Amino acid sequence: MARRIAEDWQAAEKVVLSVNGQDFAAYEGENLALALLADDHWHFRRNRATGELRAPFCLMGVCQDCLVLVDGERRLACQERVREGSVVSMGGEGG
Amino acid sequence: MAAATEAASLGLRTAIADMGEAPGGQVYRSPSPALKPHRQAVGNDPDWIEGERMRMALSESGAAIRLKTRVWSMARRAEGGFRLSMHHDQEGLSQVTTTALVLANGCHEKLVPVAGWTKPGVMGLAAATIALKAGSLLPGDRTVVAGGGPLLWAVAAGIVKGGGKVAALVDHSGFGDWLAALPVMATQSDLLIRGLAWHGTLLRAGVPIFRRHRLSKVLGGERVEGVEIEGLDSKGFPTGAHRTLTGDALAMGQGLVPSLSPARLLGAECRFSPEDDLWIPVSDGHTRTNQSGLYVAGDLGGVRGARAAALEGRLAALTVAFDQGKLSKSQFELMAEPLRRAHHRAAKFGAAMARLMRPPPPLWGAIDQDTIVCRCEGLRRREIDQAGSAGAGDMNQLKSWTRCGMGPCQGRLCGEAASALLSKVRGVGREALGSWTAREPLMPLPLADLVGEFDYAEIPQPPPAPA
Repeated sequence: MARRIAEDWQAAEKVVLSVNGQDFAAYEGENLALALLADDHWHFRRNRATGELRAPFCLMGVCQDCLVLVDGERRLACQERVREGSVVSMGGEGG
Repeated sequence: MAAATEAASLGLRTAIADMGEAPGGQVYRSPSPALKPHRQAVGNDPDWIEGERMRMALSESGAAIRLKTRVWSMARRAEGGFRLSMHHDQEGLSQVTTTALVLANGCHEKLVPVAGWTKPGVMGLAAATIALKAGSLLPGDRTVVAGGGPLLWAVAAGIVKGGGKVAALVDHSGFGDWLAALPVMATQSDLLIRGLAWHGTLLRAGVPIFRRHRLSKVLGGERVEGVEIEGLDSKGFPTGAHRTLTGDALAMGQGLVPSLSPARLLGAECRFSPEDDLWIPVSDGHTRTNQSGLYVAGDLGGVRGARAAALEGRLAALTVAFDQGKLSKSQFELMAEPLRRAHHRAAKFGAAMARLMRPPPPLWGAIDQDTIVCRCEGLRRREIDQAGSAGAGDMNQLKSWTRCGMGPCQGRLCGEAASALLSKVRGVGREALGSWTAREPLMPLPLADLVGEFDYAEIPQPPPAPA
């Protein structure tokens, strides 16, 4: 699974948000897709044509495989930042 | 960034729109604020240092900076200039009019589809770079890195320096291809040294290096568990010599493609470059397109690397200033000439790297019939070949018949493969197939944001037609 290079992070506190109903801790302001991958949340979106579960492929807003719900809105996780108290829902058809 | 900074410094009223959190494309993508400046994966990353320098110059330039802003439509105005329609997640829709427009929206990754490449754990080389640089994240516990060009080596070295394992580096180029590029590489000696250092890092870590090999299959159930690779002969044809590698992540990428949809939407003339195997916008050597007031700069105009991109951005700003009468002809020539020369030198290096990134042409034909080509729609090569055999004669017909390119990525991931495959089955060159008609929105947007609030009672109902 994807792994953080631990030494690179400031000794900062993590904030808590909710992912599929469970508490999830990550650094405030970090990339949401990367934070989720770092904690082995790899099931971002179910492809409507094939039924496959997809994880982020391009990380630059192109592939659309990382579309999740953030506070009820459809958002590309790779273009979002971690914010305290966000409610993230992933693994569906992106909303 | 360079274009906006230069334009503002020339006294032009300038704004820059960037969909990211901070300015800078993928090369200069800014890292998470929680990351330390000196990081293991990137060390004293020269790209990070240069990116920060450019961001600072931009913020001091006086240019208006609109971040997290997606330009979803552009049109020429009857009275001249352009109208841009923009979207911001919190602020909603806005419009801006401008007399001059410099497009510098860069490239996206060129990909040769391989069986199993839709599995979680597979990401692009550019994606792996973003993970390492912006998030200090290793793609996996044990990553296979495959494709071509310098980015392949940068990613592998970055993973090793970050304390991760690289199962293998798989390069579709041969050692001879790299040697042939050495004279040009030596013209940007700091970049050559950086490349040699990456090589050294991999050798010291004992990473297996497979040159002249392609990916033939991604293995695993729901997620990546390994890959199968295959040797290539000197012309790029698969030899049938397979090998299996284990790993839980794959970073793959076979070059870069200019993101032409904004340029095409505005009717900019584009041509197919056989040397690059790419469609590129036609420009006049001073970044002007065939549309008055429209300029292209950077990798959008042809993959020539970050150094050439910044120089061309500054050239674009100068040309805009001259075209708007802010500079005299002699001032313009005096300032533009050294930039053009520097750009020419930097572009030669970029072009040599682009050649190494390009997949050998036989790789397209080697794609299995069952392999998904259009990721969004789940279309397999077989369906593209069938449509071509049944008479789909160009890219737009292929799209209408099969839905290839109709998904949310708007054909960005499958476009190159679809074109190469249709070209093969039809027996015509890629140029003859044309390209997909560009339409707005330029990227997916929430429909609710476009529609806004309204009451059904407000919609005027025309009287019914007479019976």
